[in-house]
Amino acid sequence: MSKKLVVGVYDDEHSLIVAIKHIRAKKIKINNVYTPYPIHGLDHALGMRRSKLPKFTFWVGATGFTSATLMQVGLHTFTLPFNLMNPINVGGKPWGFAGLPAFVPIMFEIMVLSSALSIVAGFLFRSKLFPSLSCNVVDIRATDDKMILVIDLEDVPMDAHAVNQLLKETPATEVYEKEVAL
Amino acid sequence: MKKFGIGNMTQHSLRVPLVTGGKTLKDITNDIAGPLEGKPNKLWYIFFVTSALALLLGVISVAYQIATGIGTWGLNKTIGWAFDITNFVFWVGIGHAGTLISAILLLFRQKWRNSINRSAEAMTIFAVICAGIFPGIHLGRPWMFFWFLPHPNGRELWVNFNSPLLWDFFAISTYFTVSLVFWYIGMVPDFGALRDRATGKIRKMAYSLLSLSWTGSAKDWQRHEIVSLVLAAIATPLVLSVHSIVSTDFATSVIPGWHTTIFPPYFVAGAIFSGFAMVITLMIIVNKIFPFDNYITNYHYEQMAKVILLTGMLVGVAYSTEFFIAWFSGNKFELYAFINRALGPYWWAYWSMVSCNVLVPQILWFKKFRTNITILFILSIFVNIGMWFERFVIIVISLHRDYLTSSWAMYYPSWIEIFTLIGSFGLFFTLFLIFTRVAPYIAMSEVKDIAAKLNRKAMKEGAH
Repeated sequence: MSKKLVVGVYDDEHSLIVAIKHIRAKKIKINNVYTPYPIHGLDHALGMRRSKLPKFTFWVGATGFTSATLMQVGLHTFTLPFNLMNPINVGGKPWGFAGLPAFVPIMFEIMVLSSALSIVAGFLFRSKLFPSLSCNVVDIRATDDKMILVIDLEDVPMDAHAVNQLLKETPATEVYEKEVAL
Repeated sequence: MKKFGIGNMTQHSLRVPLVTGGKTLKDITNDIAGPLEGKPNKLWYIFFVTSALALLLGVISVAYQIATGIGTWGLNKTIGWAFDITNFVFWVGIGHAGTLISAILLLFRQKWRNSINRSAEAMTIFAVICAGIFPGIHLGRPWMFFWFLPHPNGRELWVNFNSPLLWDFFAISTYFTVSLVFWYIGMVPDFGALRDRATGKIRKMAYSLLSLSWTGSAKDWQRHEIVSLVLAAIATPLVLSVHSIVSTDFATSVIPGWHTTIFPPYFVAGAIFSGFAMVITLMIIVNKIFPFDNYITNYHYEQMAKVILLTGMLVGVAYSTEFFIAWFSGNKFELYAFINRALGPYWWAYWSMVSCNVLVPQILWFKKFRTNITILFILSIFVNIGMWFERFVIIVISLHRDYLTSSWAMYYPSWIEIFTLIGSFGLFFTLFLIFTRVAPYIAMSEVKDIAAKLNRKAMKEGAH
């Protein structure tokens, strides 16, 4: 199995945005866009939705905060298996809920740790970024200095020639067809 | 006669360009990735061999003191914390500038951070590694470090969550993990660029693994941006918390000179101060090895020098506030502790601290000195020394004269302790030099962002 792609190469972000607007105005689906650096407004131009990662992170952070609180209060009050009242009394300092102020630093640290790890894990998982020995990129210049716009022929109700023409109407410096193995 | 020209100028041309030399995107990839592909130059080898030898000295002395016990140190019954904890606080402080540059300056949209944030973050990671070694050795039995973690055990005893030493363990390990993750996520796109340039098979495979098959697609970039922003937003309070918590190691005790509420902000300011000095030291050394002058310009050094001037004065205010409060509190033990700092047997440590941290940085009021690389390099070394002495002053001088004159004592470091300090510098520079060889020293994608904007502006202005 393989699929046919038509690739447009652009020199700068301005021509890329112009091209995206032109193509989207004709209701043609853009498969993907690859750029060497994050372009401000690109997600908007492509009509992408906001990422849900911050919401997810908030809830994981809140869970981390709560569990850190319960862990400290619990461990200062009971011994395992949690049926024996055995408060840790060091220098007469308060334990249980009364000791909350002293537990703030660790509550905070665990909240930070859990939210940082969760957003990164979420990002890698959602974007399918896993270590692999090889990587299929459409055009390796995308990490160097070119903006690459890709249209999948299966997605569009046009033949290769028409898509080629469409991309040539945009300020692309180069248009070519490419077949990739699935 | 022409009036003030500012009204006619665009806002952009008032600003100093952050990347000079009219670099295109291709130039940036070549300039930054190029040095990683050839053999390192002679200067790199000289620095590397020197720091590797220092590291070796450190490894030998650490092995010796773990095998023999920490009786090899100069500690005594009065002074239970000295060189080791001084080094720990010093190294943790160094790390703070990296997070300030990568996180706080990102939130404040300071674009000049883009070309120095990668190396500053690397510095953070390596400094925290160096810092972690010292309390590790101080445990005496470092293989028991997991006793810090709350885990069910045969002693039926949990860790004491009231103890600042435990807070410290959580704070430092969180700080290290979050900084590492932040640094790595920032490097993923650049590893992708290195992978796509790689010619050798092994090289290509290695960078494929590191780049996590990054393609630079629009959705990935959108998420990447959000992840960076959220990580910056949580790393900002984190970095402020870490040195605040380190300061509570001292502030929650009842030792005169330690028991003060000014400690958290005072320690954070000092940390940023010393960290920026270390960033300048490192940048100047690396800029000697690799030709990055177009990316790390005089403007960058000047901005960092301004931060040093500001935080140096904050530290100065903290020193004088401490003195004032010691007198104003009416507590004679507190007052004695401070008079003893300035006039006691360790007066030289106190006055080296004041002169290196407060007096010397005052030259930065002049632009001539802020933009002079040689002067800045010498100054950054002074600040490093001064900030090391600050921790020494706080720890040793406060401890060496107790409430009871019978337990007054002096502290002198043993050779083993001095070798360990040298070894930690060796570790730091060795790791940093290896980093400059395997990962892009400057964040390529972020610098490309700046350069692209610059080129577009130049094109627009040319069109008028």
